[in-house]
Amino acid sequence: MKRFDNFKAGFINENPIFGLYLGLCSTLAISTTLNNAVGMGVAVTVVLVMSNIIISCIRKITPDEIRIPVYIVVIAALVKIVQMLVEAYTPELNTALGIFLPLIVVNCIILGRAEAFASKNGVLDSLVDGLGMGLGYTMGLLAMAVVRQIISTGTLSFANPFNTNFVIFETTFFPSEYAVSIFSQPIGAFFTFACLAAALTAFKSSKNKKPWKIGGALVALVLIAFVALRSDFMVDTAASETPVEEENGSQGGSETDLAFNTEITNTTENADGSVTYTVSVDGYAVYNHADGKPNILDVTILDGTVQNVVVTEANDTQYVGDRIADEAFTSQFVGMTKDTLELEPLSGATISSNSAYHAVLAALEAAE
Amino acid sequence: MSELFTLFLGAAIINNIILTRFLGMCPFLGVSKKVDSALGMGAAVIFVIFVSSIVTYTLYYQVLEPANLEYMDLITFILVIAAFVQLVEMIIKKFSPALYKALGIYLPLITTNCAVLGVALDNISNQYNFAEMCTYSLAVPVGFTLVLFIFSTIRERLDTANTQQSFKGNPIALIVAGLMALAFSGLAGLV
Repeated sequence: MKRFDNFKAGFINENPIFGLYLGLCSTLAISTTLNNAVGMGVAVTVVLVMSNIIISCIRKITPDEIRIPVYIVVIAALVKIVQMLVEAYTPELNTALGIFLPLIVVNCIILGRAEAFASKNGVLDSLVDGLGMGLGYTMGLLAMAVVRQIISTGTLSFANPFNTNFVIFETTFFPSEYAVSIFSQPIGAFFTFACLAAALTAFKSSKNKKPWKIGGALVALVLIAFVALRSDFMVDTAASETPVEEENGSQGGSETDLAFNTEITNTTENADGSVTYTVSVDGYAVYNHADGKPNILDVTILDGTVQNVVVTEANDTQYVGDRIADEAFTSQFVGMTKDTLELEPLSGATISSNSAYHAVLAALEAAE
Repeated sequence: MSELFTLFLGAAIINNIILTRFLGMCPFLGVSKKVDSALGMGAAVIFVIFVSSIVTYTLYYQVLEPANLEYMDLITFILVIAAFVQLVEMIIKKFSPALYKALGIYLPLITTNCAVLGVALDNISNQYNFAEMCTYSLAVPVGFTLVLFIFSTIRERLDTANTQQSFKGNPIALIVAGLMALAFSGLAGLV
């Protein structure tokens, strides 16, 4: 029974986070979402259990003077293995945990339990102790993550760690306009942690534990009811991505496959010696509509260098392709020669941008 | 030169290691009860982080990377840090027994201080050159000491305040730390 008592102690009475204040760094940083909390909790539990087993096995043959470096090497090796596995199989978790995954090495819980328990007890006892402490740590992380995620985003969601596009459940507690996003910041972490720690202290020192247990059960019940009744289950977010804008050549073939026929309809010699070419170029409208009209640009060239580009007729999609008429776009060609001619296309209007590019190119070729 | 200055400012104050990144919380809560021990701890941490960062950085780029042993970084770093902290402990014990007694268990616990290993790993993952690494490794513990000092001055007064029973001790200290974090977060976007 002593083994089981030890296991139970890791949950409430000797909770590593709220009772013993060990492993604070990762708790405060990681507990923003449920996914991160579960991932970190599982990682720490695995390392804790394995290190307890190994250190308990070698406890009789490690010299007392160098036991701390020995324990540290064992823990570091285990953490490196876990880190490489997480990096391989759950890359989003790896990015979310960041530096805190390798920092499990210096998590006080693991070294503390190795020193206090595993170095003095048998393998099975150490395994159970590690499991209790690890699960207590995970429970603490989950408590913090639930509070912080609900308050800071208004929703509670959990995605499949191996494929984060697949959301297992997503519950909306209240609309996100009312969410207090500051709870995902450090201030929220400190505040939540302090309140939960104070609650645990109050629970441990209260004489009548019954109202606490009733209250705790009620909160858990309300949470589960909310999740069961008001959440979306098994949502696949990968399928619901917004379709790519039509302008970006989704009509078959990239914009470089299109011919962009140009025609110089007019040539004007200006007073300062420059020549203005009126170029008609097939743009998006011509390729995608039966009665689409080409874009018409006036390209002024002096000594092989573009002086000015004005779009006199922009016949492509309104507000999308006709943005090539903006000076912000046409001014990029000023100063370019045939050799330095380069295009910075407008986002969402690749074909129209390329048509303008070909118009300027045609004018530069005609100037030669 | 100005990039190094902004790096220093950013690492020390704006992205303060305790208040924004949560590394180094154990001594933050444990040693900050008195101003003198806080300053002594801060000085020890500056020394440990600065020198161990240089050693681990050199070790990584001169030994581990050429030998394709990058995965050994955790084990080598932590062994270097553990050995170095042992050295610092022996030096402090010899030269300042009062400080040694004041720091108590928290001196060997600098080994498990997330900040030390965190800075060593940061130097690698941020791909700093030597000058940037030195600046960063000096800036982070200076910021740590600054916040530790401020916190200890507040905490000395906090112990005599009339706090609710279950918040006494660490919980109310954490709320104060949260308010400090809120204040420091106003500096975000400065550099």
